[in-house]
Amino acid sequence: MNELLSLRSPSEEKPTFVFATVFILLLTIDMIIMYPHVDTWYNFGSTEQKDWSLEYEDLMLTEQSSITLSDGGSETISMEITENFTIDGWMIQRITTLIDYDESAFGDADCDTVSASLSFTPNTAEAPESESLEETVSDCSQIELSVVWFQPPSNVSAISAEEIEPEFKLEAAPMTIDVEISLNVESTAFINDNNEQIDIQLVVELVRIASVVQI
Amino acid sequence: MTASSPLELFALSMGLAALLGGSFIWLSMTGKESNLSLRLTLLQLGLLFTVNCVIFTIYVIQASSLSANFSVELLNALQGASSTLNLFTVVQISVILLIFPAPAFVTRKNLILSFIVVLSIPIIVLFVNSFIGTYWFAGGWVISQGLLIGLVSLVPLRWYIVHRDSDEEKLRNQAIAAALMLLALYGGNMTKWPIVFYLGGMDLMFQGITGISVDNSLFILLVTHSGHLVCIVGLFTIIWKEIMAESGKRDKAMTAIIFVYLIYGLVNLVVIKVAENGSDFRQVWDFFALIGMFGLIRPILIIYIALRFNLFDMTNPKIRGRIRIIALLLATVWTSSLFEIVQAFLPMPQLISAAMIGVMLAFVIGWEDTIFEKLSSGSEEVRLCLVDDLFVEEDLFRVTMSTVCLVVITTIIGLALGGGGIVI
Repeated sequence: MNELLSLRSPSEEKPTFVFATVFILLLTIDMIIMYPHVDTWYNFGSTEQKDWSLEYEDLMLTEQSSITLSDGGSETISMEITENFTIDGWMIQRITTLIDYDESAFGDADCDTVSASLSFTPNTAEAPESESLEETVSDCSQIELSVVWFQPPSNVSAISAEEIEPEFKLEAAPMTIDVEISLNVESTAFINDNNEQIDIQLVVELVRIASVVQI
Repeated sequence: MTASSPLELFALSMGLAALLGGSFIWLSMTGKESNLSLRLTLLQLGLLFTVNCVIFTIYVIQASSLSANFSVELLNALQGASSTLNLFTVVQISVILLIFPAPAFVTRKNLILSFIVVLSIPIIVLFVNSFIGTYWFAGGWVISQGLLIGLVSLVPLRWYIVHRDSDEEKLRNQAIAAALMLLALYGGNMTKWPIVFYLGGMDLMFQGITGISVDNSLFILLVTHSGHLVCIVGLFTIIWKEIMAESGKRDKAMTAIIFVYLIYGLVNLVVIKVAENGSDFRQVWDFFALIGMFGLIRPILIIYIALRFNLFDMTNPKIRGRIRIIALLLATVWTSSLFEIVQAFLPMPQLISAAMIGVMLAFVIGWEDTIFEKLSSGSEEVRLCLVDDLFVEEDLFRVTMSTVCLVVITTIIGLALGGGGIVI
């Protein structure tokens, strides 16, 4: 060892003792504070795949309307879902439309025929899990048309929460949904009102990731 | 941040490192009148800048549009090579701190043994960690750095603590030279001083590193934090000593540098706290906080140390003239790099930027004569307590060739390992 660096008398080594004491003191305090957080300190930006649990939140958009159709008439009800929903992370999980009507003419035992069809322009190439786009009823029963896409995954693998890219098989906004209803009057009574009131309820269910928790 | 900013700064830093590396190696080989201990330090600094140049070259390749066509394997291999070379520069820095301002060991046998120990630390740590660690490479990488920085930084700090208040000027110079070298080489760790108060957290501790996975162990935390802490407590020791120094023993340059480091540490902490992680500004700041420190601040401090403590053979008029040309070239590249950083934060038209570089260069060139003469005055004096007859002329060649071999081996290991879990 270079003699200029060798140990000196205790009085001359006072600054060295101070340095060592401060170092040990700070190291001890820092270890006590830092060790409980060691998991996050030494595992950021990891390239290792981890499992994550995803929780979703729902949003229901509902539009209700009532139309009066005459024999042979038809009308289209439209609902628009703007692109803002996609920007906010929402995706379309389900579209449902419920059509209700009743025979309003007094003494007429025969229900009118109502036809309904549901249409939209898809934004993604994702095929729905199930769909019922057209229906015709003549017994005054409720018409239910729906398109249901696959449930989003509840578990995914990714390097970090920010890197999660679940395989969504869902539709996305902007989208215009059209429901076309037509009426054919069928009557056993001599006098008929020739008009029918039809109630339409269009419900769009949107989902987005609410929380991500590492498993 | 403009997309080209990192690439341009990497390219400029690469040029600066190449210029410094080449000049230092050439000056150490030709300055035969200088003390061999100083020539060896100069050579080791030159080799350090040369390895930095290789690292910057890898960064340039990674940041360039060429890399878009690279396979994942090739990108990982380049990342691995830059990681292992970065680790090798820590070994090189350790060697510099062991021989400057004077060798820590005065017999060849002990000095060579100390070099072997320094070189063995990363090898042994990586080897042992490959058996016990899950993330063996990344874990070994941080442990080796922590051990080397923590242990070797004690040597210049010892020089400083023991001799800063000495009545003998040469010994005081010894202390100041050692502290300046520590500030130049491990300044990046020192500016992270808020970490001792648990401020800044992981963001500050691993600033500039995009991602790392290390085993969660107390030992790794202890070793890596100790490495930082030695430098930080060292900075506060230097600040304390400089404040308490007698009027005749004060060193203006040292005082200015430590207070700049102290304030920069605070500004860096404020930016980390205020700027949202992942925001554009934060990305630019983190990038330049890391690259700026060892691409810009380190070269300027090293040049200052070399001129002040006569690492160059300034008695030779031919060498003196060439050093002036090198100094001017350095000033030009350095000014361009500085404005590249300014451009990233405050985008301005190229014409205005070029005009500002021109104005600044005019000032630098105007003052160059005065600064150069002031710094190099008394170049014939030996300002440090050097050890005679420890080195021989052949050591210069031996050190150069050993470094070349080690760089080749280190690069090959890095390429073979791939990223190893470290993303810079």
